[in-house]
Amino acid sequence: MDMEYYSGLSFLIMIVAEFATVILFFGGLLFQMKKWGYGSEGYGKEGQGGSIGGFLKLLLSQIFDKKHEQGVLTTLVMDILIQRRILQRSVLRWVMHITIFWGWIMLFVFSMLIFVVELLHKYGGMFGDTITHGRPIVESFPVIVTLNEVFGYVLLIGVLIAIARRLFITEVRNGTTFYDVFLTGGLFIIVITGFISEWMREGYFLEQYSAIAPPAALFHVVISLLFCVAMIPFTKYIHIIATPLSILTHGGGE
Amino acid sequence: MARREPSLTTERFTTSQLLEIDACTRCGECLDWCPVYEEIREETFTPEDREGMNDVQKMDFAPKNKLTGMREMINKGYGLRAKLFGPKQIPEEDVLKLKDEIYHCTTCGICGTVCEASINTVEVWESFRRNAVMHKRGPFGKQTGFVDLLASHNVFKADQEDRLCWVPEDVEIKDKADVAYFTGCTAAYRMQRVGVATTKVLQALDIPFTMLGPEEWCCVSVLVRTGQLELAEEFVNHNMNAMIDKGVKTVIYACAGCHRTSIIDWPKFYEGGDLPFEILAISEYMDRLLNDGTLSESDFEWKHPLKQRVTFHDSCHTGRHVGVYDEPRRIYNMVPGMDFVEMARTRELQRCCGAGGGIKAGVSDLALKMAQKRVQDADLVNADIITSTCPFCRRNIMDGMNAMDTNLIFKDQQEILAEAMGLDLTLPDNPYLDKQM
Repeated sequence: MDMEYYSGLSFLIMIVAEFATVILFFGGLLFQMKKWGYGSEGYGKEGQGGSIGGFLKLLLSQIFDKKHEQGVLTTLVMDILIQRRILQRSVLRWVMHITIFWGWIMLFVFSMLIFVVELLHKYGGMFGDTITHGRPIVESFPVIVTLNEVFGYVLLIGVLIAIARRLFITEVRNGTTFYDVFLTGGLFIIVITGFISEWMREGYFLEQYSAIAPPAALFHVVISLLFCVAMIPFTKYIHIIATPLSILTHGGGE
Repeated sequence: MARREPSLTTERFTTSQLLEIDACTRCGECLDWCPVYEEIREETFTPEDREGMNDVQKMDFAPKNKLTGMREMINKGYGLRAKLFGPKQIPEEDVLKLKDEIYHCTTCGICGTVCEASINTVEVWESFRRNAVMHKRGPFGKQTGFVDLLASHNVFKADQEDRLCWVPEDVEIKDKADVAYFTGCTAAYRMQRVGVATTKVLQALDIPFTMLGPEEWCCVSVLVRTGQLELAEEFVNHNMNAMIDKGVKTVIYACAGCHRTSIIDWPKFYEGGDLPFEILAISEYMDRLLNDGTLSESDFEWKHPLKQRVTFHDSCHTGRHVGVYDEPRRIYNMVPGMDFVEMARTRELQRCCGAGGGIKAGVSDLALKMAQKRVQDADLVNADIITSTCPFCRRNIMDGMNAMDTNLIFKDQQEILAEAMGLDLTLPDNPYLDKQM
């Protein structure tokens, strides 16, 4: 019975994986903030000794600094959600980054949405008429399935551009380190395993492998949680947090 | 057992800077713009003891790799592993290698301008440099001499009593005035023609002004850029108090280095908090007077149309660092007869001349190569004159021109104005005439 939940995975596995992810993510994030908190409040001042509170206080005061030429909302939209600073410099890099950014965000949102639906169904008895038992719950929401596919391809486009840049542009290739490979490679594995585990389900062209669809989905989900969430504070994924904060503290702008 | 100190500490870095170091996405945009990396990549310059670098090693001089180097070293001292097992020691030669790379930078700021993550790179480099000096790893090469030179309160070890020795007899310097002209060491001792032109133009426009004379000490740009801050507070507060004693409301600058240092760096050292006067580039000040009607174009009383093709080099300091672009251009555009032409790279994307960040003193060969690139930019638009508002750019670009086959000449903005106004720029007899650049 449990197998119908969480894309065919057992409830226990999912809860353990998600609990571990949340601990790793927030633990790592606090640790990073502590590291940033070793810096000083301002030029020439003493360091703050790793104060997370000091870091957050300063961060907020800088984000909402009245000296910024544009408002926080403008910065958020134009410089973080639309990423015009990248667009201004390179259209190719902007296409690469905006597709990865929005692909990642939307897939994350849809995954969380289905997770909430599954919890509501399991514990609240909701969506009883909508959900088809014996099938992964997401399949009971065709719109989400379609959007998952669309944004999966969006993410794939971005990741493929990123890989191509690192393979075929000499200077980018020469400058590539494990730090970069971990990010791009991780995203590539996630998006590919996502497609493969979906194609293994009944009704798709790899359905002859449907027996191993659940473990394939497990692999995809666990590495997604690992790469896309848990490892954020410890790898190049940290830029997902640090870069928008840097842009916000400087007030954005072209 | 005492816990080991991280090999690279976070001293002098602000929380924002530590965040910014992690914010670098390693997109590589800075590689396309960094003037130092450009020379190293093209092998027109090879840093000392780095002969035979391959393409990957050359990238260590690019901003992206400098930030990566800092991130890795800081993480070894403050990362998870360091918390569990103590900071991982980094061989001192590796830290010194990174230090050398970060001192190979003019702090021109183009990397920060094009940075997708909005990293204020100049401030990060300067914090690292200060950290390096604190740990006796910096500064670099002849930059160590700046502190000794400043025992005389100017960077040329000249007599402070001679600070105004170049002022023509017919120029009146008020004892007190709302406006003060901060000359800077270079115009006072080595490019007196710029000082003469500035004072003559101000006088011709009936702008009363004062000057600090012997009480004008070095603006400390050379110290801030190279991380040697021991004297900075004393010098800044001295200059500030001297200005306050004169009752100054506006300080104007014909030196981009002094201008940048005063408006951005002085508040960091001034004990009194916010600066009690306004700081403006002289072109900004003139432009304002023209806009508010205090001055009109006819007040310039042009006498000699400049029938030459002129191109303007935005200094990094007044341009990218402070953001003054339009005002100097509006002033140039008033000069009759001038054929004003822009180089391919201007304003916030201008190419650094190579003089700043201690490079002229620390790595002069590199400074010269970068200057030559800028001269080539001016040659490409068939300019007769390259002009700027920075005596330090002037010196380096002139060095670049002297090392090349070019008919270009350099003139400061104030020289151009003074000449077109028919003002006499003869230097009065003084002990520094044979030292003029």
